[in-house]
Amino acid sequence: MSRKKTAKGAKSSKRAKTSTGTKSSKHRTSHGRTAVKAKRQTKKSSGVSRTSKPVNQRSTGSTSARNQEKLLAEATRELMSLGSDAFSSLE
Amino acid sequence: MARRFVFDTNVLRYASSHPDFGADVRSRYHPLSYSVVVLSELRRAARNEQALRTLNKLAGLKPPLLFAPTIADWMLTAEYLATLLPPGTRTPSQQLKDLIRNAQNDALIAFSTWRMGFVLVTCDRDFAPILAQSGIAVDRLVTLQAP
Repeated sequence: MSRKKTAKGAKSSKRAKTSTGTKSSKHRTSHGRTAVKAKRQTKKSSGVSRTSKPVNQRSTGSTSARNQEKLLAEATRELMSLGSDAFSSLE
Repeated sequence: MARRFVFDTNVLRYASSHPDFGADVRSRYHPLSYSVVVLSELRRAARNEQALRTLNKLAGLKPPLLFAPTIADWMLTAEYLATLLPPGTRTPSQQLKDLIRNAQNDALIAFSTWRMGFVLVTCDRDFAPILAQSGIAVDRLVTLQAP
């Protein structure tokens, strides 16, 4: 009888584990933990932006754009100081 | 964004030969952009190395500091040039052909400048009829007295 009980018990407990889905409960737990970790990582990575300059200290244009404006101003000054011999009167 | 000004070819040519005029337009009209059509007109008239070097610098600028006519600008130009032909004209006179040929670059400069939202600065009256036909606001064209 005791053997049967044990056997039954063992069987039933095994079945219960299988049917209730031990794996799935573990999966849920681990999934939950992974999700929390992922969120924390995201927060950490977003925290990197705190090292960037405050809004009032950021420049309004890129270096490239400023260089272009500088080049234009310089070339315009040159163009306007070429003198009357620089161009023929085609126009 | 600040409204940009675009010098017509004649403004730049007068500025290069009249330093006072050049200093005046440079101080009054900025920030600047260049039309590639204007640079092309200057390039074909350039007669020394320094002028070529300066024009090459300007030709290396990127949009919106340097801009070119689009397909739409070419089509608007064609519509405008077609109005210069009297109705029913099949063989226009040489004089009319020359007029249309000369007006093409002006129309390309004008339509591309106005499409960009910029103001065209010129020393001649060739742009007034283009402005009148296009329905663009009159403050998009500045006509200066030639020095």
